[in-house]
Amino acid sequence: MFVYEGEFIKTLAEKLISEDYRVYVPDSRSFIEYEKAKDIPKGKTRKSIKEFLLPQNEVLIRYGKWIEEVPLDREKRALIGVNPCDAKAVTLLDKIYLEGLMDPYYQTRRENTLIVSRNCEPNNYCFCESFGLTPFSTEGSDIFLIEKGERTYIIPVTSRGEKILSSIDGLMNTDVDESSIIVQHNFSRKVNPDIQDELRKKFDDEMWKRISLNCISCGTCTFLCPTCFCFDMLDEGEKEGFRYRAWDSCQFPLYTLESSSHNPRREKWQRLRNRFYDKFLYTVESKGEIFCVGCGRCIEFCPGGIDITEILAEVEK
Amino acid sequence: MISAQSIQNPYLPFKAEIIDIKQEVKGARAIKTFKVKVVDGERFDYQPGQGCLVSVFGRGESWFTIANSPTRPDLEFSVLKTGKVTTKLHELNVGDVVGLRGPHGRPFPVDDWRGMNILTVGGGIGQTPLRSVYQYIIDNYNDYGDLTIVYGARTSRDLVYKDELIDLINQGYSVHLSIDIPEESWEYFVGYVPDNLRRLKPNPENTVAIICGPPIMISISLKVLKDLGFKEEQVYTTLERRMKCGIGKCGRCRIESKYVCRDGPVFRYDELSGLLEKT
Repeated sequence: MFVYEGEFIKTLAEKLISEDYRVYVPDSRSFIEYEKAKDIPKGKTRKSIKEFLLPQNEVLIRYGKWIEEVPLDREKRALIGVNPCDAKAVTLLDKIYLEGLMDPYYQTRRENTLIVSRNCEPNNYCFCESFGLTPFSTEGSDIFLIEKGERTYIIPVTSRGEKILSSIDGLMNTDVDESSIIVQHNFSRKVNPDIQDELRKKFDDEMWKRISLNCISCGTCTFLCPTCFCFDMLDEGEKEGFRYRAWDSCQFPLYTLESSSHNPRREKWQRLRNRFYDKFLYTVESKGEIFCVGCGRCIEFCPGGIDITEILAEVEK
Repeated sequence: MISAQSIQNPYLPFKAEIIDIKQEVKGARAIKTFKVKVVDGERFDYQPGQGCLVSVFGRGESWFTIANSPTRPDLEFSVLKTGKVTTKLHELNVGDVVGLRGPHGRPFPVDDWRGMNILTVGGGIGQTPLRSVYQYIIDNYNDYGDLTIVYGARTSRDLVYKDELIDLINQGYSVHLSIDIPEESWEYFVGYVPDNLRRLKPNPENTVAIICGPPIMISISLKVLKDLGFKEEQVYTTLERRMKCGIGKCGRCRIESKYVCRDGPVFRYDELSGLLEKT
Protein backbone atom coordinates (compact mmCIF):
# COMPACT_ATOMS: atom_id res chain seq x y z
CA MET A 1 0.00 0.00 0.00
CA PHE A 2 1.07 3.55 -0.71
CA VAL A 3 0.09 6.85 0.75
CA TYR A 4 -0.09 10.17 -1.04
CA GLU A 5 -0.43 13.63 0.46
CA GLY A 6 -2.51 15.97 -1.68
CA GLU A 7 -4.88 15.57 -4.58
CA PHE A 8 -4.05 12.10 -5.81
CA ILE A 9 -6.89 11.80 -8.33
CA LYS A 10 -5.63 14.97 -10.03
CA THR A 11 -2.08 13.64 -10.14
CA LEU A 12 -3.20 10.26 -11.46
CA ALA A 13 -5.57 11.75 -14.02
CA GLU A 14 -2.92 14.08 -15.40
CA LYS A 15 -0.38 11.29 -15.57
CA LEU A 16 -2.81 9.05 -17.44
CA ILE A 17 -3.80 11.84 -19.82
CA SER A 18 -0.11 12.33 -20.61
CA GLU A 19 -0.03 8.64 -21.51
CA ASP A 20 -2.92 9.04 -23.97
CA TYR A 21 -5.67 7.79 -21.75
CA ARG A 22 -9.04 9.44 -21.82
CA VAL A 23 -9.90 9.84 -18.20
CA TYR A 24 -13.41 9.78 -16.79
CA VAL A 25 -14.62 10.64 -13.33
CA PRO A 26 -18.08 10.49 -11.76
CA ASP A 27 -20.61 13.26 -11.70
CA SER A 28 -24.00 12.40 -10.26
CA ARG A 29 -25.49 11.09 -13.49
CA SER A 30 -22.68 9.17 -15.08
CA PHE A 31 -18.96 9.26 -15.68
CA ILE A 32 -17.79 12.34 -17.58
CA GLU A 33 -14.47 13.40 -19.01
CA TYR A 34 -12.06 14.59 -16.38
CA GLU A 35 -11.46 17.86 -18.17
CA LYS A 36 -15.16 18.71 -17.95
CA ALA A 37 -15.61 17.80 -14.31
CA LYS A 38 -15.94 20.62 -11.83
CA ASP A 39 -15.55 18.36 -8.85
CA ILE A 40 -15.59 14.62 -8.28
CA PRO A 41 -18.55 13.87 -6.07
CA LYS A 42 -18.63 10.82 -3.83
CA GLY A 43 -21.51 8.38 -4.00
CA LYS A 44 -22.99 6.40 -6.82
CA THR A 45 -23.51 7.64 -10.33
CA ARG A 46 -27.00 6.99 -11.57
CA LYS A 47 -25.67 4.97 -14.51
CA SER A 48 -23.11 2.31 -13.76
CA ILE A 49 -19.78 1.99 -15.56
CA LYS A 50 -21.04 -0.85 -17.73
CA GLU A 51 -21.63 1.58 -20.59
CA PHE A 52 -17.86 1.94 -20.93
CA LEU A 53 -17.53 -1.76 -21.66
CA LEU A 54 -20.90 -2.48 -23.20
CA PRO A 55 -22.20 0.81 -24.60
CA GLN A 56 -25.92 1.33 -24.63
CA ASN A 57 -25.74 1.43 -28.42
CA GLU A 58 -22.84 0.12 -30.44
CA VAL A 59 -22.39 -0.23 -34.18
CA LEU A 60 -21.16 -3.72 -35.09
CA ILE A 61 -21.03 -3.60 -38.88
CA ARG A 62 -21.91 -1.34 -41.75
CA TYR A 63 -23.63 -2.72 -44.80
CA GLY A 64 -24.31 -1.62 -48.33
CA LYS A 65 -23.31 -3.74 -51.28
CA TRP A 66 -21.69 -6.03 -48.75
CA ILE A 67 -20.53 -5.57 -45.18
CA GLU A 68 -17.76 -3.51 -43.75
CA GLU A 69 -16.24 -4.28 -40.39
CA VAL A 70 -16.28 -1.46 -37.87
CA PRO A 71 -12.86 -1.17 -36.23
CA LEU A 72 -12.82 -2.27 -32.62
CA ASP A 73 -12.70 0.54 -30.09
CA ARG A 74 -9.13 0.46 -28.81
CA GLU A 75 -9.14 3.82 -27.09
CA LYS A 76 -7.33 3.72 -23.77
CA ARG A 77 -9.68 4.84 -21.03
CA ALA A 78 -9.34 5.22 -17.32
CA LEU A 79 -12.30 5.40 -14.99
CA ILE A 80 -11.32 7.00 -11.72
CA GLY A 81 -13.57 7.05 -8.68
CA VAL A 82 -15.51 3.91 -9.46
CA ASN A 83 -17.63 2.42 -6.68
CA PRO A 84 -16.50 -1.02 -5.47
CA CYS A 85 -19.86 -2.56 -6.41
CA ASP A 86 -19.53 -1.37 -10.01
CA ALA A 87 -16.01 -2.79 -10.20
CA LYS A 88 -17.21 -6.12 -8.89
CA ALA A 89 -20.02 -6.04 -11.44
CA VAL A 90 -17.45 -5.88 -14.23
CA THR A 91 -16.06 -9.24 -13.11
CA LEU A 92 -19.57 -10.63 -13.60
CA LEU A 93 -19.94 -9.12 -17.06
CA ASP A 94 -16.59 -10.78 -17.85
CA LYS A 95 -18.18 -14.14 -17.16
CA ILE A 96 -20.70 -13.54 -19.90
CA TYR A 97 -18.60 -11.76 -22.48
CA LEU A 98 -15.17 -13.34 -22.09
CA GLU A 99 -16.08 -16.95 -21.31
CA GLY A 100 -17.00 -19.33 -24.13
CA LEU A 101 -16.89 -17.53 -27.45
CA MET A 102 -15.08 -14.26 -26.78
CA ASP A 103 -17.00 -11.09 -27.55
CA PRO A 104 -14.40 -9.01 -29.39
CA TYR A 105 -16.09 -5.65 -28.84
CA TYR A 106 -16.32 -6.14 -25.10
CA GLN A 107 -12.93 -7.76 -24.81
CA THR A 108 -11.14 -4.94 -26.60
CA ARG A 109 -12.75 -2.32 -24.40
CA ARG A 110 -12.08 -4.33 -21.30
CA GLU A 111 -8.39 -4.66 -22.17
CA ASN A 112 -8.09 -0.94 -22.72
CA THR A 113 -10.03 0.27 -19.71
CA LEU A 114 -8.30 0.95 -16.42
CA ILE A 115 -10.56 0.80 -13.38
CA VAL A 116 -9.55 2.91 -10.42
CA SER A 117 -12.05 2.52 -7.63
CA ARG A 118 -12.36 4.38 -4.42
CA ASN A 119 -14.00 3.71 -1.09
CA CYS A 120 -17.61 4.72 -1.34
CA GLU A 121 -20.20 6.26 0.91
CA PRO A 122 -23.17 3.91 0.84
CA ASN A 123 -26.67 5.35 0.74
CA ASN A 124 -29.91 3.95 2.11
CA TYR A 125 -30.51 1.79 -0.96
CA CYS A 126 -27.20 -0.07 -0.78
CA PHE A 127 -26.92 -3.72 0.30
CA CYS A 128 -23.57 -4.86 -1.09
CA GLU A 129 -22.67 -6.35 2.27
CA SER A 130 -25.16 -9.15 1.58
CA PHE A 131 -22.76 -10.41 -1.09
CA GLY A 132 -19.62 -10.13 0.97
CA LEU A 133 -18.74 -6.72 -0.46
CA THR A 134 -17.92 -3.59 1.49
CA PRO A 135 -17.21 0.05 0.60
CA PHE A 136 -13.56 -1.07 0.57
CA SER A 137 -13.75 -4.15 -1.70
CA THR A 138 -11.07 -4.15 -4.38
CA GLU A 139 -12.33 -6.95 -6.64
CA GLY A 140 -12.54 -5.86 -10.28
CA SER A 141 -10.37 -2.79 -9.77
CA ASP A 142 -6.86 -2.20 -11.07
CA ILE A 143 -6.13 0.35 -8.38
CA PHE A 144 -8.05 1.06 -5.21
CA LEU A 145 -8.04 4.40 -3.41
CA ILE A 146 -9.00 5.05 0.17
CA GLU A 147 -9.46 8.71 0.86
CA LYS A 148 -9.00 9.78 4.43
CA GLY A 149 -8.79 13.49 5.14
CA GLU A 150 -5.99 15.04 3.09
CA ARG A 151 -4.41 11.67 2.50
CA THR A 152 -5.09 9.04 -0.11
CA TYR A 153 -4.11 5.45 0.55
CA ILE A 154 -3.46 3.58 -2.66
CA ILE A 155 -3.68 -0.16 -3.18
CA PRO A 156 -2.33 -1.61 -6.42
CA VAL A 157 -4.69 -4.49 -7.22
CA THR A 158 -3.59 -5.76 -10.63
CA SER A 159 -0.13 -5.78 -12.23
CA ARG A 160 -1.47 -3.24 -14.65
CA GLY A 161 -2.39 -0.95 -11.80
CA GLU A 162 0.98 -1.54 -10.22
CA LYS A 163 2.76 -0.57 -13.39
CA ILE A 164 0.89 2.71 -13.67
CA LEU A 165 1.54 3.56 -10.04
CA SER A 166 5.27 2.89 -10.47
CA SER A 167 5.46 5.86 -12.80
CA ILE A 168 3.85 8.31 -10.38
CA ASP A 169 6.01 10.54 -8.22
CA GLY A 170 5.22 11.26 -4.60
CA LEU A 171 3.91 7.85 -3.57
CA MET A 172 5.23 6.70 -0.21
CA ASN A 173 5.16 3.16 1.04
CA THR A 174 3.11 2.72 4.16
CA ASP A 175 2.59 -0.14 6.54
CA VAL A 176 -0.49 1.45 8.07
CA ASP A 177 -2.89 -1.02 9.63
CA GLU A 178 -5.78 -1.31 7.15
CA SER A 179 -8.31 -1.66 9.91
CA SER A 180 -7.43 1.82 11.12
CA ILE A 181 -8.48 3.43 7.82
CA ILE A 182 -11.50 1.26 7.11
CA VAL A 183 -14.84 2.57 8.30
CA GLN A 184 -17.61 0.14 9.16
CA HIS A 185 -21.00 0.89 7.70
CA ASN A 186 -24.35 -0.30 8.96
CA PHE A 187 -26.50 -1.24 6.00
CA SER A 188 -30.22 -0.85 6.49
CA ARG A 189 -31.09 -3.15 3.60
CA LYS A 190 -30.01 -6.73 3.14
CA VAL A 191 -30.87 -9.89 1.27
CA ASN A 192 -30.13 -13.55 1.91
CA PRO A 193 -27.87 -14.74 -0.90
CA ASP A 194 -28.61 -18.41 -0.12
CA ILE A 195 -32.13 -18.17 -1.41
CA GLN A 196 -31.95 -20.58 -4.36
CA ASP A 197 -34.00 -23.40 -2.78
CA GLU A 198 -36.68 -20.95 -1.69
CA LEU A 199 -36.84 -19.50 -5.19
CA ARG A 200 -37.29 -22.96 -6.67
CA LYS A 201 -40.26 -23.49 -4.35
CA LYS A 202 -41.87 -20.11 -5.01
CA PHE A 203 -41.82 -20.10 -8.80
CA ASP A 204 -45.56 -20.65 -9.13
CA ASP A 205 -46.50 -18.59 -6.09
CA GLU A 206 -49.28 -16.04 -6.41
CA MET A 207 -47.00 -13.38 -4.93
CA TRP A 208 -45.48 -12.56 -8.35
CA LYS A 209 -48.79 -11.32 -9.72
CA ARG A 210 -49.35 -9.07 -6.74
CA ILE A 211 -45.81 -7.72 -6.64
CA SER A 212 -45.81 -6.85 -10.32
CA LEU A 213 -48.93 -4.66 -10.14
CA ASN A 214 -46.88 -1.49 -9.80
CA CYS A 215 -44.36 -2.47 -12.48
CA ILE A 216 -44.64 -0.49 -15.71
CA SER A 217 -42.20 -2.70 -17.65
CA CYS A 218 -40.01 0.34 -18.25
CA GLY A 219 -36.78 -1.59 -17.88
CA THR A 220 -35.10 1.08 -15.74
CA CYS A 221 -34.01 -1.62 -13.28
CA THR A 222 -32.20 -3.55 -15.96
CA PHE A 223 -30.71 -0.52 -17.71
CA LEU A 224 -29.27 0.86 -14.50
CA CYS A 225 -28.20 -2.55 -13.22
CA PRO A 226 -24.41 -2.88 -13.49
CA THR A 227 -24.66 -6.64 -14.08
CA CYS A 228 -27.57 -6.83 -16.55
CA PHE A 229 -25.99 -7.72 -19.86
CA CYS A 230 -28.74 -8.42 -22.41
CA PHE A 231 -28.74 -6.79 -25.78
CA ASP A 232 -30.79 -6.60 -28.94
CA MET A 233 -29.37 -6.44 -32.47
CA LEU A 234 -30.96 -4.13 -35.00
CA ASP A 235 -30.43 -2.96 -38.56
CA GLU A 236 -30.81 0.72 -39.35
CA GLY A 237 -31.21 1.58 -43.03
CA GLU A 238 -32.84 -0.47 -45.76
CA LYS A 239 -30.30 -0.59 -48.61
CA GLU A 240 -27.33 0.69 -46.70
CA GLY A 241 -26.87 1.33 -43.07
CA PHE A 242 -25.51 -0.23 -39.96
CA ARG A 243 -26.19 -3.11 -37.65
CA TYR A 244 -25.93 -2.20 -34.01
CA ARG A 245 -26.55 -3.72 -30.67
CA ALA A 246 -28.48 -1.96 -27.95
CA TRP A 247 -29.18 -2.76 -24.35
CA ASP A 248 -32.31 -4.80 -24.03
CA SER A 249 -34.44 -5.75 -21.08
CA CYS A 250 -36.20 -8.96 -20.08
CA GLN A 251 -38.90 -6.62 -18.75
CA PHE A 252 -39.94 -5.67 -22.28
CA PRO A 253 -42.69 -7.82 -23.84
CA LEU A 254 -40.82 -7.87 -27.16
CA TYR A 255 -37.80 -9.46 -25.57
CA THR A 256 -39.18 -12.97 -25.91
CA LEU A 257 -41.96 -12.42 -28.46
CA GLU A 258 -41.55 -14.88 -31.30
CA SER A 259 -42.69 -14.20 -34.83
CA SER A 260 -45.28 -16.93 -34.51
CA SER A 261 -46.81 -14.63 -31.83
CA HIS A 262 -45.90 -17.17 -29.15
CA ASN A 263 -44.43 -15.41 -26.14
CA PRO A 264 -42.94 -17.54 -23.36
CA ARG A 265 -43.13 -14.58 -20.96
CA ARG A 266 -46.26 -12.88 -22.14
CA GLU A 267 -47.35 -11.55 -18.74
CA LYS A 268 -45.73 -8.70 -16.87
CA TRP A 269 -45.49 -10.77 -13.70
CA GLN A 270 -43.59 -13.48 -15.57
CA ARG A 271 -41.09 -10.91 -16.75
CA LEU A 272 -40.68 -9.29 -13.36
CA ARG A 273 -40.24 -12.70 -11.77
CA ASN A 274 -37.58 -13.49 -14.36
CA ARG A 275 -35.38 -10.65 -13.15
CA PHE A 276 -35.12 -12.07 -9.65
CA TYR A 277 -34.75 -15.65 -10.80
CA ASP A 278 -32.12 -14.73 -13.31
CA LYS A 279 -29.99 -12.87 -10.80
CA PHE A 280 -30.42 -15.17 -7.82
CA LEU A 281 -30.95 -18.61 -9.35
CA TYR A 282 -30.22 -19.03 -13.08
CA THR A 283 -26.82 -17.30 -13.07
CA VAL A 284 -25.92 -19.19 -9.91
CA GLU A 285 -26.64 -22.40 -11.84
CA SER A 286 -24.79 -21.37 -14.98
CA LYS A 287 -21.96 -19.18 -13.68
CA GLY A 288 -21.80 -19.91 -9.98
CA GLU A 289 -22.45 -16.25 -9.18
CA ILE A 290 -25.33 -14.09 -8.06
CA PHE A 291 -25.67 -11.36 -10.64
CA CYS A 292 -26.40 -8.64 -8.11
CA VAL A 293 -23.87 -6.51 -6.29
CA GLY A 294 -26.29 -4.66 -4.04
CA CYS A 295 -25.82 -1.24 -5.61
CA GLY A 296 -29.49 -0.45 -4.98
CA ARG A 297 -30.05 1.48 -8.21
CA CYS A 298 -33.04 -0.67 -9.17
CA ILE A 299 -34.68 0.30 -5.89
CA GLU A 300 -33.73 3.96 -5.92
CA PHE A 301 -34.92 4.64 -9.46
CA CYS A 302 -37.90 2.29 -9.86
CA PRO A 303 -40.94 4.42 -10.74
CA GLY A 304 -43.15 1.74 -9.20
CA GLY A 305 -41.30 1.57 -5.92
CA ILE A 306 -40.38 -2.09 -6.38
CA ASP A 307 -37.71 -3.13 -3.91
CA ILE A 308 -35.65 -6.24 -4.61
CA THR A 309 -34.76 -6.65 -0.94
CA GLU A 310 -38.42 -6.67 0.10
CA ILE A 311 -39.31 -9.14 -2.62
CA LEU A 312 -36.55 -11.56 -1.75
CA ALA A 313 -37.55 -11.28 1.90
CA GLU A 314 -41.05 -12.29 0.90
CA VAL A 315 -39.71 -15.26 -1.06
CA GLU A 316 -38.19 -16.49 2.19
CA LYS A 317 -41.42 -16.22 4.14
CA MET B 1 -10.81 -26.13 -42.04
CA ILE B 2 -11.02 -22.55 -43.03
CA SER B 3 -13.52 -20.22 -43.75
CA ALA B 4 -16.27 -18.62 -42.41
CA GLN B 5 -16.21 -20.50 -39.18
CA SER B 6 -12.74 -19.40 -38.28
CA ILE B 7 -13.51 -15.73 -38.68
CA GLN B 8 -12.38 -14.18 -35.42
CA ASN B 9 -15.32 -11.93 -34.89
CA PRO B 10 -18.41 -14.08 -34.37
CA TYR B 11 -20.70 -11.16 -35.17
CA LEU B 12 -19.46 -10.86 -38.74
CA PRO B 13 -21.61 -12.70 -41.24
CA PHE B 14 -20.00 -14.36 -44.21
CA LYS B 15 -21.34 -14.28 -47.68
CA ALA B 16 -23.65 -16.93 -49.10
CA GLU B 17 -25.35 -16.98 -52.46
CA ILE B 18 -28.83 -18.33 -53.04
CA ILE B 19 -28.49 -21.05 -55.69
CA ASP B 20 -31.97 -22.55 -55.60
CA ILE B 21 -35.39 -21.71 -54.20
CA LYS B 22 -38.23 -24.17 -53.81
CA GLN B 23 -41.71 -23.03 -52.89
CA GLU B 24 -42.82 -25.68 -50.40
CA VAL B 25 -46.06 -24.12 -49.26
CA LYS B 26 -48.11 -21.31 -50.83
CA GLY B 27 -50.58 -18.87 -49.35
CA ALA B 28 -50.72 -17.05 -46.04
CA ARG B 29 -48.26 -19.39 -44.37
CA ALA B 30 -45.88 -19.69 -47.29
CA ILE B 31 -42.72 -21.71 -46.86
CA LYS B 32 -39.74 -21.62 -49.18
CA THR B 33 -36.59 -23.70 -49.01
CA PHE B 34 -33.48 -21.78 -49.95
CA LYS B 35 -30.37 -23.58 -51.04
CA VAL B 36 -27.29 -21.44 -50.46
CA LYS B 37 -23.63 -21.78 -51.26
CA VAL B 38 -20.99 -20.24 -49.05
CA VAL B 39 -19.08 -17.82 -51.25
CA ASP B 40 -15.78 -17.50 -49.42
CA GLY B 41 -14.65 -20.73 -47.92
CA GLU B 42 -14.07 -24.27 -48.95
CA ARG B 43 -16.04 -26.11 -46.34
CA PHE B 44 -18.79 -25.55 -43.90
CA ASP B 45 -18.81 -28.28 -41.28
CA TYR B 46 -21.91 -28.84 -39.26
CA GLN B 47 -23.99 -31.57 -37.69
CA PRO B 48 -27.74 -32.22 -37.95
CA GLY B 49 -29.63 -29.96 -35.55
CA GLN B 50 -27.28 -27.00 -35.77
CA GLY B 51 -28.43 -23.67 -37.12
CA CYS B 52 -27.28 -20.44 -38.67
CA LEU B 53 -28.25 -16.83 -38.32
CA VAL B 54 -29.30 -15.67 -41.73
CA SER B 55 -28.92 -11.96 -42.42
CA VAL B 56 -30.96 -9.88 -44.76
CA PHE B 57 -29.27 -6.55 -44.31
CA GLY B 58 -31.70 -3.78 -43.55
CA ARG B 59 -34.12 -6.21 -41.92
CA GLY B 60 -31.98 -8.13 -39.51
CA GLU B 61 -31.04 -11.68 -38.74
CA SER B 62 -33.03 -14.77 -37.85
CA TRP B 63 -32.00 -18.21 -36.72
CA PHE B 64 -32.82 -21.14 -38.94
CA THR B 65 -31.94 -24.74 -38.36
CA ILE B 66 -30.08 -26.20 -41.30
CA ALA B 67 -32.65 -28.26 -43.17
CA ASN B 68 -30.39 -30.71 -44.96
CA SER B 69 -27.84 -33.23 -43.83
CA PRO B 70 -24.11 -32.48 -43.89
CA THR B 71 -23.84 -35.54 -46.12
CA ARG B 72 -25.51 -33.51 -48.89
CA PRO B 73 -24.08 -30.56 -50.76
CA ASP B 74 -24.65 -26.91 -49.82
CA LEU B 75 -26.96 -25.62 -47.13
CA GLU B 76 -30.72 -25.48 -47.08
CA PHE B 77 -33.00 -23.37 -44.95
CA SER B 78 -36.77 -23.67 -44.94
CA VAL B 79 -38.34 -20.36 -44.12
CA LEU B 80 -41.91 -19.70 -43.05
CA LYS B 81 -42.91 -16.21 -44.13
CA THR B 82 -43.97 -14.60 -40.90
CA GLY B 83 -41.90 -11.60 -39.80
CA LYS B 84 -39.65 -8.81 -41.06
CA VAL B 85 -36.66 -10.94 -42.01
CA THR B 86 -38.57 -13.87 -43.43
CA THR B 87 -40.87 -11.66 -45.52
CA LYS B 88 -37.82 -10.09 -47.12
CA LEU B 89 -36.18 -13.48 -47.60
CA HIS B 90 -39.22 -14.62 -49.52
CA GLU B 91 -38.70 -11.74 -51.96
CA LEU B 92 -35.15 -12.80 -52.79
CA ASN B 93 -34.16 -14.58 -55.97
CA VAL B 94 -31.53 -17.05 -57.09
CA GLY B 95 -28.23 -15.19 -57.27
CA ASP B 96 -29.01 -12.88 -54.37
CA VAL B 97 -26.65 -12.82 -51.46
CA VAL B 98 -27.41 -13.26 -47.76
CA GLY B 99 -25.21 -13.21 -44.69
CA LEU B 100 -24.65 -16.30 -42.59
CA ARG B 101 -23.28 -16.79 -39.11
CA GLY B 102 -22.75 -20.22 -37.72
CA PRO B 103 -23.10 -23.09 -37.55
CA HIS B 104 -24.13 -22.65 -33.95
CA GLY B 105 -25.67 -24.76 -31.27
CA ARG B 106 -25.49 -28.27 -29.93
CA PRO B 107 -26.38 -30.81 -32.61
CA PHE B 108 -28.24 -34.09 -32.37
CA PRO B 109 -25.81 -36.73 -31.09
CA VAL B 110 -26.21 -38.78 -34.27
CA ASP B 111 -22.93 -40.63 -33.69
CA ASP B 112 -24.13 -41.87 -30.31
CA TRP B 113 -27.25 -43.20 -31.99
CA ARG B 114 -25.42 -45.66 -34.23
CA GLY B 115 -27.06 -49.06 -34.14
CA MET B 116 -30.33 -47.67 -32.85
CA ASN B 117 -33.75 -47.25 -34.40
CA ILE B 118 -34.62 -43.65 -35.18
CA LEU B 119 -38.13 -42.23 -34.95
CA THR B 120 -38.81 -38.65 -36.04
CA VAL B 121 -42.08 -36.98 -35.10
CA GLY B 122 -42.68 -33.69 -36.88
CA GLY B 123 -45.41 -31.12 -37.34
CA GLY B 124 -45.51 -28.31 -39.89
CA ILE B 125 -42.28 -26.36 -40.34
CA GLY B 126 -40.93 -28.32 -37.37
CA GLN B 127 -39.95 -31.01 -39.84
CA THR B 128 -36.89 -28.94 -40.81
CA PRO B 129 -34.38 -30.16 -38.20
CA LEU B 130 -35.78 -33.68 -38.50
CA ARG B 131 -35.06 -33.67 -42.22
CA SER B 132 -31.40 -33.06 -41.50
CA VAL B 133 -31.49 -36.11 -39.24
CA TYR B 134 -33.36 -38.48 -41.52
CA GLN B 135 -31.25 -37.54 -44.52
CA TYR B 136 -28.19 -38.24 -42.42
CA ILE B 137 -29.58 -41.64 -41.37
CA ILE B 138 -30.53 -42.50 -44.95
CA ASP B 139 -27.03 -41.58 -46.14
CA ASN B 140 -25.48 -43.75 -43.41
CA TYR B 141 -28.12 -46.43 -43.59
CA ASN B 142 -25.96 -49.37 -42.57
CA ASP B 143 -24.96 -47.68 -39.33
CA TYR B 144 -28.47 -47.40 -37.97
CA GLY B 145 -31.48 -49.59 -37.24
CA ASP B 146 -34.95 -48.83 -38.55
CA LEU B 147 -35.90 -45.31 -39.55
CA THR B 148 -39.50 -44.21 -39.00
CA ILE B 149 -40.71 -40.79 -40.07
CA VAL B 150 -44.02 -39.51 -38.69
CA TYR B 151 -45.03 -36.15 -40.08
CA GLY B 152 -48.15 -34.09 -40.39
CA ALA B 153 -49.54 -30.65 -41.12
CA ARG B 154 -52.93 -28.93 -41.16
CA THR B 155 -53.63 -29.70 -44.79
CA SER B 156 -51.79 -31.47 -47.57
CA ARG B 157 -50.84 -28.06 -48.92
CA ASP B 158 -49.04 -27.24 -45.66
CA LEU B 159 -46.75 -30.26 -45.77
CA VAL B 160 -43.13 -29.30 -46.27
CA TYR B 161 -40.87 -31.64 -48.34
CA LYS B 162 -44.01 -33.47 -49.49
CA ASP B 163 -42.62 -34.74 -52.79
CA GLU B 164 -39.45 -35.88 -51.14
CA LEU B 165 -41.36 -37.76 -48.44
CA ILE B 166 -43.67 -39.44 -50.95
CA ASP B 167 -40.54 -40.46 -52.88
CA LEU B 168 -39.26 -42.07 -49.71
CA ILE B 169 -42.54 -43.92 -49.29
CA ASN B 170 -42.22 -45.19 -52.83
CA GLN B 171 -38.68 -46.32 -52.11
CA GLY B 172 -40.03 -48.36 -49.20
CA TYR B 173 -39.10 -46.16 -46.27
CA SER B 174 -41.36 -46.11 -43.25
CA VAL B 175 -42.92 -42.67 -43.65
CA HIS B 176 -46.29 -41.87 -42.08
CA LEU B 177 -47.93 -38.67 -43.22
CA SER B 178 -51.03 -37.08 -41.79
CA ILE B 179 -53.23 -34.05 -42.22
CA ASP B 180 -55.51 -32.60 -39.58
CA ILE B 181 -58.71 -32.36 -41.61
CA PRO B 182 -60.03 -34.74 -44.30
CA GLU B 183 -59.35 -33.97 -47.96
CA GLU B 184 -60.44 -35.71 -51.09
CA SER B 185 -57.79 -37.95 -52.65
CA TRP B 186 -55.66 -37.94 -49.50
CA GLU B 187 -54.53 -41.52 -49.11
CA TYR B 188 -52.71 -41.26 -45.79
CA PHE B 189 -53.79 -40.73 -42.19
CA VAL B 190 -56.26 -38.02 -41.20
CA GLY B 191 -55.83 -36.67 -37.68
CA TYR B 192 -53.25 -35.00 -35.51
CA VAL B 193 -49.65 -36.14 -35.44
CA PRO B 194 -49.90 -37.54 -31.88
CA ASP B 195 -52.94 -39.57 -32.97
CA ASN B 196 -50.97 -41.02 -35.85
CA LEU B 197 -48.16 -41.81 -33.43
CA ARG B 198 -50.52 -43.58 -31.04
CA ARG B 199 -51.92 -45.61 -33.93
CA LEU B 200 -48.45 -46.60 -35.18
CA LYS B 201 -47.28 -47.71 -31.71
CA PRO B 202 -43.53 -47.42 -32.25
CA ASN B 203 -41.53 -49.83 -30.12
CA PRO B 204 -39.35 -48.03 -27.59
CA GLU B 205 -36.73 -50.75 -27.49
CA ASN B 206 -33.34 -49.51 -28.68
CA THR B 207 -35.07 -46.49 -30.20
CA VAL B 208 -34.51 -42.74 -30.08
CA ALA B 209 -37.40 -40.44 -30.79
CA ILE B 210 -37.02 -36.84 -31.91
CA ILE B 211 -39.98 -34.51 -31.77
CA CYS B 212 -40.23 -31.10 -33.35
CA GLY B 213 -43.26 -28.99 -34.14
CA PRO B 214 -45.71 -26.59 -32.51
CA PRO B 215 -45.50 -26.60 -28.68
CA ILE B 216 -48.87 -28.34 -28.25
CA MET B 217 -47.96 -31.07 -30.72
CA ILE B 218 -44.66 -31.61 -28.93
CA SER B 219 -46.19 -31.95 -25.50
CA ILE B 220 -48.94 -34.36 -26.60
CA SER B 221 -46.51 -36.42 -28.68
CA LEU B 222 -44.21 -36.69 -25.69
CA LYS B 223 -47.10 -37.96 -23.63
CA VAL B 224 -47.99 -40.54 -26.26
CA LEU B 225 -44.39 -41.74 -26.38
CA LYS B 226 -44.29 -42.03 -22.61
CA ASP B 227 -47.52 -44.05 -22.70
CA LEU B 228 -45.82 -46.34 -25.21
CA GLY B 229 -42.96 -46.88 -22.79
CA PHE B 230 -40.39 -44.33 -24.00
CA LYS B 231 -38.21 -42.88 -21.26
CA GLU B 232 -37.31 -39.18 -21.27
CA GLU B 233 -33.69 -40.18 -21.94
CA GLN B 234 -34.80 -41.61 -25.29
CA VAL B 235 -36.62 -38.52 -26.50
CA TYR B 236 -35.03 -35.43 -28.01
CA THR B 237 -36.44 -32.16 -29.18
CA THR B 238 -35.11 -28.96 -30.60
CA LEU B 239 -36.32 -25.72 -29.11
CA GLU B 240 -36.87 -22.28 -30.50
CA ARG B 241 -36.61 -18.97 -28.78
CA ARG B 242 -36.27 -15.48 -30.06
CA MET B 243 -32.54 -15.19 -30.71
CA LYS B 244 -30.20 -12.36 -31.50
CA CYS B 245 -26.50 -13.02 -31.05
CA GLY B 246 -26.60 -16.80 -31.48
CA ILE B 247 -23.41 -17.26 -29.47
CA GLY B 248 -24.55 -17.29 -25.86
CA LYS B 249 -24.14 -13.61 -25.00
CA CYS B 250 -27.19 -11.47 -25.61
CA GLY B 251 -29.41 -13.34 -23.17
CA ARG B 252 -32.53 -13.39 -25.32
CA CYS B 253 -32.99 -17.09 -25.92
CA ARG B 254 -32.34 -18.21 -22.38
CA ILE B 255 -34.56 -20.71 -20.67
CA GLU B 256 -33.45 -20.35 -17.08
CA SER B 257 -29.72 -21.09 -17.04
CA LYS B 258 -29.58 -22.51 -20.57
CA TYR B 259 -29.01 -20.62 -23.78
CA VAL B 260 -31.04 -22.26 -26.53
CA CYS B 261 -28.51 -21.03 -29.12
CA ARG B 262 -25.50 -22.51 -27.35
CA ASP B 263 -26.65 -25.22 -24.91
CA GLY B 264 -29.39 -26.24 -27.35
CA PRO B 265 -31.28 -26.02 -29.58
CA VAL B 266 -31.20 -29.80 -29.20
CA PHE B 267 -32.22 -31.03 -25.77
CA ARG B 268 -32.88 -34.46 -24.36
CA TYR B 269 -36.13 -34.49 -22.47
CA ASP B 270 -34.63 -35.34 -19.12
CA GLU B 271 -32.66 -32.08 -19.40
CA LEU B 272 -35.89 -30.13 -19.69
CA SER B 273 -38.19 -31.89 -17.28
CA GLY B 274 -36.71 -30.19 -14.20
CA LEU B 275 -37.22 -26.68 -15.53
CA LEU B 276 -39.48 -24.29 -13.66
CA GLU B 277 -40.43 -22.31 -16.74
CA LYS B 278 -42.55 -24.08 -19.31
CA THR B 279 -40.75 -24.64 -22.59
